[in-house]
Amino acid sequence: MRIRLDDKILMNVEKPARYTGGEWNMVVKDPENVDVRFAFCFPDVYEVGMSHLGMKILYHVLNKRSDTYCERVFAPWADMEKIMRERGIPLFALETKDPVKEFDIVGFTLQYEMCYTNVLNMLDLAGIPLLAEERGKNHPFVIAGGPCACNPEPLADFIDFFVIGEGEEVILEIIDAYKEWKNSGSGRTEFLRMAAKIPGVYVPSFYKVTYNEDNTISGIKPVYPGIPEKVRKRIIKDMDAVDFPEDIVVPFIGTVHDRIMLEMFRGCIRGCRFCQAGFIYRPVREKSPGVLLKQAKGSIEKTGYEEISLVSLSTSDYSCLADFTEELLKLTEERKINLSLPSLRIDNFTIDLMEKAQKVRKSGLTFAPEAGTQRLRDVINKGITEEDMENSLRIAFEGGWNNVKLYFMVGLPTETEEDIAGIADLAKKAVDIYYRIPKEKRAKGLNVTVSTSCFVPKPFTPFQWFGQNTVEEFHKKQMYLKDKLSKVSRAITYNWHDARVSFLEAVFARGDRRVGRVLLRAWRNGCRFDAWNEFFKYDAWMQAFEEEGIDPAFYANRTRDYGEILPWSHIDMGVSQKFLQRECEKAYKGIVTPNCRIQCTGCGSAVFGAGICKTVSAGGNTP
Amino acid sequence: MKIRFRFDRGEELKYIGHLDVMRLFERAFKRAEIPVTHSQGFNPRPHIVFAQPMALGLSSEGEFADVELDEDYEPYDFIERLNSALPAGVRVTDAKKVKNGKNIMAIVEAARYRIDFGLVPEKNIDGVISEVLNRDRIIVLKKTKSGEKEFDIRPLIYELTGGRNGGDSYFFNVLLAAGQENNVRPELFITGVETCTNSDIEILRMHRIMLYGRAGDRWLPLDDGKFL
Repeated sequence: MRIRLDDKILMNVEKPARYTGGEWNMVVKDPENVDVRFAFCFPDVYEVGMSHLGMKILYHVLNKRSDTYCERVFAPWADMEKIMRERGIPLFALETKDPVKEFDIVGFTLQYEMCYTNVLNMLDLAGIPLLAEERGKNHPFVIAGGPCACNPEPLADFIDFFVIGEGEEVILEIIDAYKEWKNSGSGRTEFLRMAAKIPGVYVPSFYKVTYNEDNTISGIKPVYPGIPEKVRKRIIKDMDAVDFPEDIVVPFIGTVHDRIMLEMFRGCIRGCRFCQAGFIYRPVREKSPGVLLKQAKGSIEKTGYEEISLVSLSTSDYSCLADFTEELLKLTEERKINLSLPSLRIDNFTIDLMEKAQKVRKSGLTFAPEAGTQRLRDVINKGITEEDMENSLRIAFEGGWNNVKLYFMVGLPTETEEDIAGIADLAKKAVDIYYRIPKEKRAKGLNVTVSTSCFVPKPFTPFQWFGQNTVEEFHKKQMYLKDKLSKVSRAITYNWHDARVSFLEAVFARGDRRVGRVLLRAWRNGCRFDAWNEFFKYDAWMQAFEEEGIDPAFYANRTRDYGEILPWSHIDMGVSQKFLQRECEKAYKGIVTPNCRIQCTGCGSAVFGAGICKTVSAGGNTP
Repeated sequence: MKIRFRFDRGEELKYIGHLDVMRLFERAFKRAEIPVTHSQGFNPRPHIVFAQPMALGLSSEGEFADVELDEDYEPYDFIERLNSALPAGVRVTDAKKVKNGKNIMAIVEAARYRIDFGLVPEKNIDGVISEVLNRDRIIVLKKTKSGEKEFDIRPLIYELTGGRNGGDSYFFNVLLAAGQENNVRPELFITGVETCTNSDIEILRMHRIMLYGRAGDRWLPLDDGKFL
């Protein structure tokens, strides 16, 4: 059954091209001629999903196989969902318009916690039972991966199995196993058993979680012999050898990142203690400049994009940045392609680079000091000093920028009123630095934007035990800062995040299996697109917690003991519990940890024997 | 050199707006490695000018654009290369060299549409057509920057014929003013018909057949030798 979308539907929804497919480089195959049909689902709207590099990579890796057809599926926007429900149109894939229910494997990528209700909504729209245990012979297997899968427990009841870590290799092993299972004609559980043998695959139904009287976890144990006690994440050891798509799908409508994304390296040497990505993507593995240039050239030719952007957690940390960007600039200038360089530390070299790379209107430069005082920046191991900040700001203003954004977090561990006041002091410093520059040398019209997000403690970070501030505490801090900033200068604009969203993020980032019931209830109460302001229904969420008898503060605001069994304790992301504990202790003492290139800190990722862990002389496991 | 090319856009690609069409061509030229001349200065823009913006939902077989190129291309070669880099649903059907410097947007004065629609049962298509053509004035509300404005579209309906498709669906073949001076979009024309006939009309499909410029008292397609 193929879904037919006509004018009556498409002319009545916002951005109908979200649902029509047919983009340049879309993969066209005859579904009759493949063994495995894979629906790659992104639980957000088209423009967000199409901006995601991981999806592009896996789409390509899967479609390179002649026995598999991977298609794309996005969450329909509310207007389209309404029409689909009214007319009984099931969730369909963009390539063939076939219902998702008819696929063999339905895979979700989990990029942020606030997309979880969209996962449920998409399953429901597809007509697939939400609970894994209710799926039968004729239903697809529902799998999930992505950064949020490092704590898979909140979705454990809904997902047949999770893929932990990087997907390029393990997804192929899953397809192989699936084909073998399909030919064998055995039951659903048999495939799960086969999958569970693949390193990096976690089948939640094969584990039993028991609880103490105080609601903490007493144990997470496999229920069958032969199921691993701990599931270790998968990584790609050699970034030069792994497949990278040059012929990515080029959307017709504008997307969030509508450009070539050239991935320079995975992982981060810095180890900022609040940053989950900095720990779960370890170790740092770079691509060599030659490979990157080849991929850049190929991507330009095959997509026709007018912009290319470098992707990594910290562009400045690429080993041969100067030589590489020089070569890349030759390539882009000749072809009139813009080069965008996000995540750069601002110094004279990078300002020069930015000016050469893109004829930028000198409006927006972003700095992320994260905390207002040096003491707190040391606590979070941000690794920049007051002097670095001042220099960067001066260089930026002297370079003709007049619009800077400063990003901070509130609610970090050990934060005091002084630290919040420090944010205002730093903003004032920025204003002062600007006015100290002679009038004729600076651009007119200073604009300093201060943004604060609310700190969300995440699994596999040194702050994973930390009790998040309450919504009220966040609010108090935001108002305190607002008041301070209003007295500094009219050139300052202050934006702050909705603490209620961060509170829910904290619940689902560190939730156990029991919060799955809340997800289900919240979805039934009408929650979806929770990451979008206009859809966020806090009251419906609070009602869901109440109805399920689950206290969100237990998950968000409670500080755990080091000894507590955490919901993700059976997942092994490489970084050891001991290391995280050590880092947490150092944080409380304000002791900084050097970056991976200066010294190995023995985080545990050396077990992968890849990237920087092979090249930097190991300091062993000593603190 | 400057080339004027004609293209069509099929059903599969009609759900994108004008800016998306422009971007689609800019990227297709890059893929085809046809070097488009760029403007000088701070933010170089490719020199591609579309004769008439394409609204979302409109298919067409008579669209035109001018493109300035850094190199000389034979029209045949140009068509081949560009088509090899265009997605399904949009296709270049003709290309000609342009010597005349006149801006293509300024040439457009009319557009022919085929509009398929469902009519209220008691109405008869010939009656509807004569009702429209016999009017001296057809006043519709047109959205402008400063709100809604009354607007007489009768003088801008140049030709109107129509018929029955079979079943409950009908069609108009209508020549309407288009371009920078006066522009009547097919939806606005249908609103006018609704006003004349005091009925509700359901648009099923809108298709642009051709864009025209005026030469004396005649309408000529945009790639006519007179305009090149």
